[in-house]
Amino acid sequence: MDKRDPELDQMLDTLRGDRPTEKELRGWQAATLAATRGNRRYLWPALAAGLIGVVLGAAGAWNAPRGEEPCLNTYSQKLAVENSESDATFELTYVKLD
Amino acid sequence: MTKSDIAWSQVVRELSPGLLSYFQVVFPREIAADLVQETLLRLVMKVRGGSFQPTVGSLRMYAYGIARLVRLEGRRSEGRVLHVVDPDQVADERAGAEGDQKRLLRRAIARLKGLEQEVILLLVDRDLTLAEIAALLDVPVGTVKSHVHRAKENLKDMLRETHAGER
Repeated sequence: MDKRDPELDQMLDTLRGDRPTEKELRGWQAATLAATRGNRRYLWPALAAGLIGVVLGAAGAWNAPRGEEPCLNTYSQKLAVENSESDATFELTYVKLD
Repeated sequence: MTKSDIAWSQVVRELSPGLLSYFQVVFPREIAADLVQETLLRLVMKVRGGSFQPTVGSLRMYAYGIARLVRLEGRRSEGRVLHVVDPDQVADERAGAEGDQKRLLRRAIARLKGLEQEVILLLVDRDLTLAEIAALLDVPVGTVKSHVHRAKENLKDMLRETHAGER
């Protein structure tokens, strides 16, 4: 049972007498309302910034170079080594560790 | 004034008396009033930020979760300013303005340790249930009940000793 202790409640009643003054209440109400409005003020700029981010992200994805999909756990990259006597091309294979 | 504004004004009116009593047990009146405002502002921010979930608990309970943090931060900052926060000294300084019984009870609560003190402070708000206090402190209701019982006995002992000492 979620029942409070009446004897203790009676003891604690002594501490419950002080109530906020009307002036304090009005001050707190004004502060909380200012806080809620403050949030609203930043809502539209935040939404606009988010929208721009989405558009730029989509444009970047659209223009991104498309190549062969790498295989599941490895991908390779060919490096042409300039200024090399052998004109060799090295292929580096990276292994992705999951 | 929008509906939301009216609702927040009502929340402030409903929660602030309990919060003020809660903070006043351990802080002087002016600091307690500042901490009430700090709690209410954080509450607004968190609710508007979507952190409050009505399915988990009441707004009152959520507010006291914030108030606990604000109280602990307030104690630390008061300690920095005053260097030493001696509950007896704070209680004695208030003696002129307050009734003797209230002063003695505050002093006794300040001497309680850990969870016993936490439970008693939260019980100062008559509208918090034991289940809500248990959820706030993240302990079973049975643990809250046993701490309530022990805290009450300790408070009675301390008050008896004080009265006997004054005679």
